[in-house]
Amino acid sequence: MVIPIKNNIYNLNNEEESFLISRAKEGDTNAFEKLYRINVSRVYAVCLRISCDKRRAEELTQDVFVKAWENLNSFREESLFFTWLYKIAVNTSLLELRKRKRWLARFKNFSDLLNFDKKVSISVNTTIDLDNAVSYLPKKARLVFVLHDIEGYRHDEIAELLSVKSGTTKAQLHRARKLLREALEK
Amino acid sequence: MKCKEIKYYLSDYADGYLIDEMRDEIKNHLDVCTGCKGYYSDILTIISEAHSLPKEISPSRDLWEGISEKISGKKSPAKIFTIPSEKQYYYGSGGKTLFFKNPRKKRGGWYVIGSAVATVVLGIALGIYFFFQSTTAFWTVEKLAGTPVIGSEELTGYGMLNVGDWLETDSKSRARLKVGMIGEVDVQPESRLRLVETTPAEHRISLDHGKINATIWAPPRLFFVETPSATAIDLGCMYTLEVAEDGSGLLEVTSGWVALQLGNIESLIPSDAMCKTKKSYGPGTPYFKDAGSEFKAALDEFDFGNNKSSALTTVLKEARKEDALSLWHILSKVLDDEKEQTYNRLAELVEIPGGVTFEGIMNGNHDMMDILWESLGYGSRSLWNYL
Repeated sequence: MVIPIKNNIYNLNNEEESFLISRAKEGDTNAFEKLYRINVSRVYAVCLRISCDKRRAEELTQDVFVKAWENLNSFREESLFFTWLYKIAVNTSLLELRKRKRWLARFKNFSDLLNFDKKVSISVNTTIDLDNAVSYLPKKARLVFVLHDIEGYRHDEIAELLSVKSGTTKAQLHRARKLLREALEK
Repeated sequence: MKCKEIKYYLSDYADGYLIDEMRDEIKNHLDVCTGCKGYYSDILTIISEAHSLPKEISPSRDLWEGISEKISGKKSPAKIFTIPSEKQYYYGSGGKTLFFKNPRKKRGGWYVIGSAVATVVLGIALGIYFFFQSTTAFWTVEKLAGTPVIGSEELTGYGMLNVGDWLETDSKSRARLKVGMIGEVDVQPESRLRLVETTPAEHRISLDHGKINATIWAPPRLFFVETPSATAIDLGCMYTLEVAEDGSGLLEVTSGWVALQLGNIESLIPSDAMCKTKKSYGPGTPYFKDAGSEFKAALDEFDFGNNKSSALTTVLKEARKEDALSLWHILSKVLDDEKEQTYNRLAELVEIPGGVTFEGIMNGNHDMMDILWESLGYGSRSLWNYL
């Protein structure tokens, strides 16, 4: 089976994916590179949305794949490979974010939101630069919004990831949407 | 519910988290209120746009080189697969043959029977748990740190707090209360509280002293915290309440609303605001956390000190537009000249809405006070009156 190396190989069937995983588990870096090419854009997207920093997102993406390589044998194929990889990406990004105290200061002040109208344009009838708007949300509200509304996580899953209660994640989601709505009104 | 409360719940409404009664009420409201309908439409647009954001974004450079360098210096994954004796899978691989294990191991009949029995037992246990949780007079308590004490017994993991029981924490202990099915209360060190009542219609604790962090996701006015100087009434929110040994308290609202009440005295505290309470005085005047220090000090003297008149002068002088929250409450606490001064200062800071007159406010017209309150943008006062 020959699978060409290029980014974003779509519609890889289960057999092909299993084959690549088994080869990678055997130590085949070429097979792992193919898995990287297939999944890198998805992993990078979530790292970018959580970190709000392109350079950091690139570093995080590399860290994710290195961790995946190191722990590949713990992947039992009971879920999709990407699902497993995605959890590593979210956890790695959150862990890194917690370490960076300076982010707290950066997103502590709501004043950024007051300038939404200069930075984002949201209207029912026009394109929403939502990614940009979300990046200006306070940290906790942003994380919950990204995980729930963009990535499709449930509240109980987010609560577990963030080590908070699901009531807290609901409150933060309400806050995020409200702030985005306020930006829409400007 | 009025528009402010409706908007508060529209996020949960959009996700389908609300109970049927609230859903129906909100749905009926949306049918007739174009403002809320527009708001809801915007929320749906945000959710929809969020769902449709690209799930894939390509990095601006190829990251594989860096990954390759890192993994090439590491030990490659150990080979753990063996060729299974049965149920093998076969794939051609560039002329080679590769065998590997079926990830889903076939289970025997006893395993299936055991799993079924375990599932039934678990279902019965959960049914009993939720039945009693909703109908019996206790809450579950989880130890978070140290050795919390219920009555005279130390809590080692999980326990029950019955109606009438006292829960105490020392300087190293913390515990988490499950408020029926409607929320959670974290009890901080050096606290003492009692479960007064728990029914589907009302959950009530008495906080003698200490600190709690409450998160309530049920409809408003189901959760009450009695303190020696006021009762905190949840209106759907997250908040922290601290009570000192002398019975004085400090409430800080993180999200939503809380009302503080003692007799006829009541204070409405929105998100990001605080309010002090004192024994024999009741709740003081709410203020925003970011208010000026001189304003806060003068407000404290006005509420609980002897020199109220000069304190009020300072409060009015130092008040910002945002402090209209405090000035509105003060209107109900002063008379004659002081009321006139307060109203005039408020009129300087915010626009007095139509339907509100100087004479009406001076005469304590409740409807005008409500209109004035709603014009301040802190939410509808009917949230309090209606419920």
